Order: sequence, then C-alpha cells, then structure tokens
Amino acid sequence: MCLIWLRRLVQLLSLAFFLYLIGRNNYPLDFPIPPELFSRLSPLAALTASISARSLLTPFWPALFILVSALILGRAFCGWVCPLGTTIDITDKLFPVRKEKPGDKPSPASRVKYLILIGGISASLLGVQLVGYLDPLSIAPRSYIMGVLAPLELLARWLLSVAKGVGWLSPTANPFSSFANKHIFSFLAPNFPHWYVHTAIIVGIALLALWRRRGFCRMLCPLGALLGTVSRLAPMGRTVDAERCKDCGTCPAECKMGAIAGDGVGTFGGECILCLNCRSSCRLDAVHFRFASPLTRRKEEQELASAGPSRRAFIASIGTGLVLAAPRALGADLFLPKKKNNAPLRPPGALPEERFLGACIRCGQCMRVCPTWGLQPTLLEAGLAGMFSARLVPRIGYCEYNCNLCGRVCPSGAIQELPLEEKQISVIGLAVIDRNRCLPWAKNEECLVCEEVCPVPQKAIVLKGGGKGKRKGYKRIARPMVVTDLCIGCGICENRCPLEGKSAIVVEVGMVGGDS
Amino acid sequence: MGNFVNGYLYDFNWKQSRRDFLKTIGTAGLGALCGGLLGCKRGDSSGEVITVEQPKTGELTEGLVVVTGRDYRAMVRRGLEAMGGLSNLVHEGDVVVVKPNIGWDRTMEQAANTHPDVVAELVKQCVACRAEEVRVFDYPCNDARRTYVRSGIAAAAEAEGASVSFIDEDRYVEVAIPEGVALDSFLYYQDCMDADVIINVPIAKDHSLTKLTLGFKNLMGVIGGNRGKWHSGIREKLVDLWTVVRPQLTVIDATRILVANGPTGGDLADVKIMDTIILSTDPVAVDAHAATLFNIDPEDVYCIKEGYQRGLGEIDLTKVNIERIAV
Repeated sequence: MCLIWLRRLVQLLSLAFFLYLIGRNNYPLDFPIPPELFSRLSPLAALTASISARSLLTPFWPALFILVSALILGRAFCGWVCPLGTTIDITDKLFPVRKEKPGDKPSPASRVKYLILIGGISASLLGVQLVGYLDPLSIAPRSYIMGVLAPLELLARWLLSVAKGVGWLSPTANPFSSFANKHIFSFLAPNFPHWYVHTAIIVGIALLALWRRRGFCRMLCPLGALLGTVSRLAPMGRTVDAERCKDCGTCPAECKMGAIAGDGVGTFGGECILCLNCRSSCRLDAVHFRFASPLTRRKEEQELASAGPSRRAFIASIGTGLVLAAPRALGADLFLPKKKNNAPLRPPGALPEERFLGACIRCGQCMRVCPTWGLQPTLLEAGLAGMFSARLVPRIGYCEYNCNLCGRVCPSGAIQELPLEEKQISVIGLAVIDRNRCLPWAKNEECLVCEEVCPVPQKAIVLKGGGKGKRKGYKRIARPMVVTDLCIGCGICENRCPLEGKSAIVVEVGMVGGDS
Repeated sequence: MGNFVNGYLYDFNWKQSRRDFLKTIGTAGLGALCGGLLGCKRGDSSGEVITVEQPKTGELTEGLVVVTGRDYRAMVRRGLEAMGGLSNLVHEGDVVVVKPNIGWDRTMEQAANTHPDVVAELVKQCVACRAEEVRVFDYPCNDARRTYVRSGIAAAAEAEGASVSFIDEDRYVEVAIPEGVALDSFLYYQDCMDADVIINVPIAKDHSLTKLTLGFKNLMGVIGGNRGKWHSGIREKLVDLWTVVRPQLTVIDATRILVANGPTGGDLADVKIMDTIILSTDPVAVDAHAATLFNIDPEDVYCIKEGYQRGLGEIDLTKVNIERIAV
C-alpha cells in the first residue's frame, strides 16, 4: 500500500516541479535547471522533429534518459512522471469510474495510439511535424501555460484589483496583491487572446474520463505507444502468481489502463504503466512487479500480445500519415497565407519556415518566456499544419532589442539561440507605414512615437518634411518614413502607435529588401 | 457512442445526484451573490476627479547653479550647498520623490537615462536630511525590469536607501487641471501625489518630437493612461501638467548628453561628455540653460517657450543669476 503513496508522491512532485519550471521560465532566466526541460524529454519529439527538420536536434539529448528508463522499467514514465498523466489521474477522480470487463485481447481503442505514432512518423518523413499536437510533453506545457495558468492569473488579478477598490477589503487585499505581484504573478499580465482554445484542449482530455480513466493515455498518446513498444524489451514487468490467483476479477477492474486481461493473470504488452494499483488491491498478494526476462514473461503468458497494429493497419497508418502530410509538403496547405506579406512573423533566430515548422514541437515555452507576450500561438495563420507555432504579434508585444530569451528556451532549436549582437541585426520583417492612418501623414497632426521608440541606434525611421508650409500660420508636421536598410522588424513601432485599433505602422514579412 | 452514453446513465446514481445537484446550485448561487455584492460595492474613489494642492516650496536660492567636474557625486553635493542646502527643502519626516529618467533599456554610457551616481547622491542627501522615505521610480518605455537593471539606477539608489519600485497600474488617481489648455485632467501616480517633495532629475537629450528632452519632458513619468495620445500637442500637455505638479527642485544631469538619435540613442558616437550638472528651482531657466549646451536657442524649444509664456519661469538667461562652480 505504501508503494501507491510513493507513486502518488513522485507523481505530484514531478507535476509540481514541472509547473515550477514553467513559473521560472521568464526573465532573467537564472534558474540553474533549464525551464523547458520536460519538453526535451520526449524521445518521440526528438525523433520526429529531427526527421522533419532534416537534422539531428541535439538539445533533445535528455530524451535518451526516458528511452533508457522505458528499456529497463517499461512505461514507468507514464505512471510516475508524465505531467499530463498525473493531471489526468487527478481529473479522473472528478468522474465516476466506469466498470470495465477486459477480455483476452486489448481493447480496440488501445490500438489507435499506435496508428497515430506510425502516422506521425510517416508525416515527419515528408517534413511535416504533426506529433506536437498529441505528444503529452508538448500538450502539457502549452495547455498549462496558456489554458490554465494564464486565465487563472487573470482571474486572480481581477479579483485582487476589485478587492483593492472595496473600502473594507483593501487592507487585506493590498498586501496580498504586493506579495502576488512580487512572487507569484508574471511581471505583465498574461495576454493570450485565444487562451480558451488551450483550455478546451485540456478540458477535452480530462473529459475523456467520461469514457475511461487515462483515456488519452490509452487511446491517443503516441509517446505512450513508443514507450510501450520499447517496454516489450524491459526486464521490469507485472507477473502474477497463478497458484495464488483466484480469478476474483478485482485487478482487471482496478487497472487504469485496461492493461490486465479478464483472467487477472495476463498483462497486455505495452499497456501497463506500473501504477501498482493492481498489486495493492490484490488481497491474496498474487501480483508482483519484478525484473525478469521478457521472453520468459511472454512464454508463461504473463505478458500477452500488445495492442500494436496488424500488418494491414500498419501500412494503412503509414499511408494516412503520408496523405495528411502531402498537401503541406507540396505547398498546398489550404490555409496557407496566400500573400507572402501575410506570412507569420517568426522570432529572430528561427529556422527557415518549413524547417522551423518541422523542428517546432508546439510546446509553448517561447511564448511563456517572451517578456512582452509578443510571441503568440498561430491558429491558421501558418496554415493548418503550422497551428500553435510561435509568431510575433507586435500589437500585443514587440521583440525587445536586448532580449534573446526565446532562443535560449526553445527545446528543439527551432528558434536558434543567437548572441545579442547577432540578434540585433537579424531582420524578421519590415515596418510599413499606412499613410492614410498615420497622424502626421493623414491629418498633419503631431505624433512621431514610432521614430521615438525605434531601438536601432541609427534609427530605422526618419522624420522628414517638417516646417512652415506655404499657407500663413500653417505648420507642417514632420512625417515618419521607414529606412528599409536599417529596420529589423522588431515591432515596437507597431506596438506603440497611439491609434485606436490597427496600427498605422505594421511589420510585414516578405518585404525584406524592398521587394516581395 | 451509444453504449458509452447508456453505460454512463446506467451507472449514474440518480437519487444521490439530485441532492448533489441542489448542493452545487446552492453553492454556485451563493458565490454569484457574493460576486455581485463585491461588484456593486466599488470604492468611493471611482469616477471622481480630485484637485491637488500645490506642494510647499522650500527655501532654496533662486537662479541657476551650474557645476562642472568629473566627480559627479561631489558635484551634486556642492551644487546643493550652493542652493542653500537640501535641508532647507527636505525636512525630517518628509516623503521625497526623486524622479530620474529610467526610460530606456540602455547602459549608463549610452546616455539614455540619468546617471546612476547623480541619482544615488541625491538619495543619499535626502536620507541625510532624515527624510522618512525616498521614492525612486519611472515608467520605462522598454521592459521595466531590464531598464531598471541596465541603467544602473535601481541598484545605485537602493544602495543609498531609496525605495525603488515598479509602477503599479492600480495606483493612479484622476486629477483636475484647472488651468489646462489641452487637458482637463490627467491620471496622477499616487506615490508622487502623496509626496512632500519632488526632485526632478532628468538627463539632457536630443528628442525627435520635442527637439530636446529636459526637465519639462521628464515629468511625464508620473502620468498614467494612454501615453501615446499625449504625443499629439505634447508641449501644451506637458506645461498643463506642470501647472499642477511642481517639482521644487530640478537637477539636470548633463554629465553625458545625447546629441542625436534621441531619446533612445544606442550609438556611443551620439554621446557627448559634458561633465555638467545644472540645478534650479526654476524649471524654465534650467531647461533654457541646458538647451545652450546643445547650441540650441531656448526660444526654439517649444516646451520651454510655452512654460515661460504661462509664467512658470524665466527664459531669458541674462535675467537669471547663474552661479558657476568647478569641482
């Protein structure tokens, strides 16, 4: 029994550590452990991102530890460490347990994750990274950062600010607010306009509990499928003392993964996550987890056939992966921006677009670390296959001149870490002035904020044409013009333009060098 | 899918759930009620525009004190002495705001922010006058954390005992401007409004919009709301602000000045080392003198001209008593 409590403790510590790292993933980035660590642990992301980016992505070396752990301990990662798995274990408790009666074969649903795994790898062969949408070590940080922590912080800030305005509450609220601002909250209030998309994803995953416990892990998780495959070689496994077992039916019903066959003895290969529930619920002490040869386990029918695909299903899923990836690989993604200047702005240090999308695992860490919240997840702006990748939205946040944090935390190197001097001359786009909106141009009204805030030392915006006009008493206001050779596209001009609504100066991709 | 729904309904305990349902509704209703009450009882500070009293003036000497030298801290001390001593302005128990320019994520050498030594020495002198609290803050245009660190001002001021803080967006109060030309009111930062003494410590820089940014422009750090909108008609708006908020002492840091590509700067070639500090109680005269360092006629700098025309000080430097000290 105490082993269950140990497992729960390890799960909670792991989740807490994961969330703490997210919390420390911001300026000045001085925590000794890289805050994006969990996203570098996925061997699946390492494999598929390397294939689709066409280069070995070395930042993923910590994933070797997880792979080795699966080779020795089976899917213990899933049961003890995975932050999404722990989250699901917690949310599962909010729902009634569905009684299940497994047979002598794994349920059809368990097969689906293998097909997803194979399809995802096939797609990556065509250079299209789709695995990031279902890899738990991408889903967990992305959904927590934008779908859970951001709205919770906004809610807390709102409640505190209301409380501070109420006479009798403010003496209590003010110290709370100061403490929270200093130690808990982000420096600037989180700003993710489509946060609810990510809340919906994690709520959707939690709602799978209406069907089965650990629904995502059983049916959808491609990392689970990969570790499950590898775990067939692992010495650690579930064995049952067939003499003691009285076929009472407790452990097949207790198993969160539906990994135990109806007779209570056999375990479906690659499904067990070593949560040890069966061991603790067996009154006859018949269930053991021990090191043994996997061949022996299979011979003794302790380990049964996995939910891996039949040959036909295998080929079908390769085909599906290729078919899903083909439109993108051929440049025919339906949702790709038609005009080049509508393309998403990528941060400095980002790989060229297709390789960027191949390497990006959609983990959201760069969006978390960006001090102005300028990096935002795309929906369809980069095409369907580019969803949830990072683009700069200057109206929300600009790229700080002296900052290179996104490159430092990107787990895959989709955003390369650039030294500051290099980053400060990396052009990500070009500012374009709309003379019909810009105050000096359109109304002869004073402004010039864009020129004022431009961080380029020689100023990438110049003011021309001010002075006395031909008419008496008319003073012509100097007008801003972008210096094409100097503008790096950081977007502070677009961010600070005082117009309501759309800025009069916008940064566009594809205008680099003056021609599209 | 049908199986799953049936199974769910079949397994559900309906008797239990009715009770639970009522419990949930009850709790939610109570929560909504509390929320509603909280929402209704907004404090009495909403929507009202208040008028502030003019801050008390100190007994410092009139005219300008221009100090030159290389030891910036000593220059500040000598300058204050020549003004009659800071203790004539800062009394025991006073809350003082030392308002430097911490606007940009730039180093001290790049001359985009006030020199940390100048700020630190002022803080030290206020503490020596037994001020209760010396507040140092500004509203940076770049990321505030980076700006406070890279400018060197936060560390230097804290070392001398200042309370250095970031702007808290919840602490603005709407204040009326009775003599306003372009504005009727503005949002005033509470930490400044509550203070007994305000010492304005700008750095002298070229500025694309206002030609130069000196003492008048530096006070913009204490306002809230849409700063972008202030840039249209900025001279009138700045002087409107000065009719309500009157720092008793302005110390212009012209140790290094930015002669081009201001206010952000970034290129050391645009920085000119002048080793000068100018002190005065007269905001017009002090800015006018600083303009001469750029070889610009004060009458050409609209803020200074507007301030003079509205009676905030003297623009003609021949009419001003100037004491020059070399350290």
